[in-house]
Amino acid sequence: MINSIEEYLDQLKTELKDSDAATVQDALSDAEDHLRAALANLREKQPERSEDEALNSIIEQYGSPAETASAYAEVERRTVPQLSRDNPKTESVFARFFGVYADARAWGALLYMLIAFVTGIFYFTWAVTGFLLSVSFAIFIFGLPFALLFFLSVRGLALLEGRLVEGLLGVRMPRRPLFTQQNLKWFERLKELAMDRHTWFSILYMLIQFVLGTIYFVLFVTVLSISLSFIAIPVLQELFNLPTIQIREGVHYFFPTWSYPLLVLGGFLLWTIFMNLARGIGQLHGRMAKAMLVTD
Amino acid sequence: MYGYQIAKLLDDYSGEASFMKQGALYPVLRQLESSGLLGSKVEPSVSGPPRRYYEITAEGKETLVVWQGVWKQMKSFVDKAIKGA
Repeated sequence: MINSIEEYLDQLKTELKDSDAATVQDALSDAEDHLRAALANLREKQPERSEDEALNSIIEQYGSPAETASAYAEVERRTVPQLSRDNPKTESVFARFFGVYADARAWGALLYMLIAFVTGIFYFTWAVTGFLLSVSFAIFIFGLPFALLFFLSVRGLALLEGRLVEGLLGVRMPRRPLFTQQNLKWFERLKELAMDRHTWFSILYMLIQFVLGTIYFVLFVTVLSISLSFIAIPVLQELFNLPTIQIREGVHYFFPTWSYPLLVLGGFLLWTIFMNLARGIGQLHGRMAKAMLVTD
Repeated sequence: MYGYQIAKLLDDYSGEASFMKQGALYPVLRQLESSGLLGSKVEPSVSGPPRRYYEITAEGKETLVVWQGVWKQMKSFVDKAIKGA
């Protein structure tokens, strides 16, 4: 006999303990939505039934925590994030190294590295401004509601970043907002958010993303420029007669013709190495995002 | 429609002999959404938490037509097999 929705959600969480953290978050959110809607509906239609009785008849139709958990585990087993589907399973190291060009996760990671620069700046500005304003406004009457709005915006941005990470890096992230009790007064809600480790980890992530986003962007632009320069040297020297290095006025250095294939090969290899590195960075970043943005 | 409405509708269709628990519906809805066959938006509700409303996408409609074709073939095959038995 389950006496409250919270008890059901606790049991469901226990049943899902071996599942992916993002699945747990989705399952709790779905169950809470359904049970609350069904309970409100049933209480309206049959006000004479006690809440316990009504809840248990709803759970009878919805499924016990164990049944619901197995439904999620089953679907989760069959559904994998979009980019992790086409993971080329090549045998040799050579094929795996050059196979990076056909790996959607590597291209996704490259795109993420570019986007992270913009989102990093935005997150950092939002987190610092929001936090400092919340602290400064605390002496005013609207200070606490402002802090609540800031914390809620952090939760929203964490969910958004999760969708970006799943879409581009192929790491499973929550698809539903984090489960929160709906019947709390705003002050209790603020207290709950402020006491929640998840909120502070999300803020920390927003700060870290600024540094990481900048590093990713600089790496991307630098390696792309160097690789393209190497590949372009033969064209620039032969077609446009442009020297590669100019030491001082009138003293130019040209690479010898025999080195052209080596330069082009060098540029191509450098970019390939970077693509492999980007794929690795993407996976590491995905794990970090999951650890910081998804609750246990 | 939101999840609870869909669950109620399915229950109404199945009558007394409900063939699935309502809780099993949600992961399926999410799977359909992640494969682009359904779209969803969250809207505030007057009585309770905000609700997620689902809507079939253009791709979903196309897939539905294919599924209906497959289902008709399967049904006619099973009907024939039972009559023949």
